[in-house]
Amino acid sequence: MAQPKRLDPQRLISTLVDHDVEFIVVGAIAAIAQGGPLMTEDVDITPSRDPVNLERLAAALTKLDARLRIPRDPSGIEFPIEPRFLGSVDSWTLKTPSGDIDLLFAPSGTAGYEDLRRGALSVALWGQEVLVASLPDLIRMKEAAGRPKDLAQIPALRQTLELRRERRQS
Amino acid sequence: MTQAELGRRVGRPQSQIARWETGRVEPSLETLRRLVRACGFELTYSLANYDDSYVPYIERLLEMSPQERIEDALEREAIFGEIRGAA
Repeated sequence: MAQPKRLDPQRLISTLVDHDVEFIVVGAIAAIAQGGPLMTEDVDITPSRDPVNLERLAAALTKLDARLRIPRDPSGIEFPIEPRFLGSVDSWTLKTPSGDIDLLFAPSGTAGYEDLRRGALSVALWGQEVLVASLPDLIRMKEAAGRPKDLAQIPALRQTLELRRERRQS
Repeated sequence: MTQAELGRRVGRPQSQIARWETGRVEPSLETLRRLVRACGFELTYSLANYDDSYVPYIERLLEMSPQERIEDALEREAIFGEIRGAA
C-alpha cells in the first residue's frame, strides 16, 4: 500500500457516516475539533459494539481498504474484516490509503460507546453531523491512560475547557 | 454509579448531583472532597507552575469552526512533517 502523504480525516469520517456506522470520534481529532491545541497523525474512533453496527463498520473498513498497522511493515498486513472478529477485541490499529485509523471500543477510563455518547457533542464536519467525545471525557481518558504523552496534554485540554466555559457564560 | 446512588451516599438529592455533573452549579471544595470519597477515592492536591502560554492560541482556535480547527492542525502537522524530514 502506498504511504498516504497526509491524513485525510474527511474521507475516513465520511466513509463511516456513509455506511451509517454509529461511532464517536475520540483522541486528538475530537480535542482539536473543540479548540484543543494538539497535533495528530491519525483518527481515533469508538464504535458501538452492536452487531448491526459491526456489520456496517466492517463494510466501511473494507471500502477504506483497511489493513493492520504493525511497526515493522509500513504497508500493513491484510486481516479478515469480519464483524464478529472486529468486536472480539478492544482495540485495532489500522492503516488505510487515507491515513491511520484506530478503533477503540473501550478507551481507557471509559465503558465505551454508550458511556461516551451521554456527554458527546454533535459537530458539523465536511457537511455532516459527527459525534465527538466531550473534553471532560477526553481528559478522563488521558488521565486513565497515564502515559507521559497523554498526561502532558491534559493542562492544555483543561485550559481549552475553561476557555470554552468562559465563552458560554459571557 | 447512578446519580441517585451518589446522592444517597452524600445525602443530597439526585437533582443536585445532575446540576453538578452538567456544570450548571459547582460544588464547594469540601463537598467535592465528600463526593470523591463517596466514589471510593481521595482528593489530593499539589501545586504546579501555572502555564498560560497556550491561551492565545486556544483563543484563536475557538474563533474557528470545528472543521477549520482540524484543517489547521493538519496544516501544522504537514509543516512539522517537512521539518522533521529535513532534519
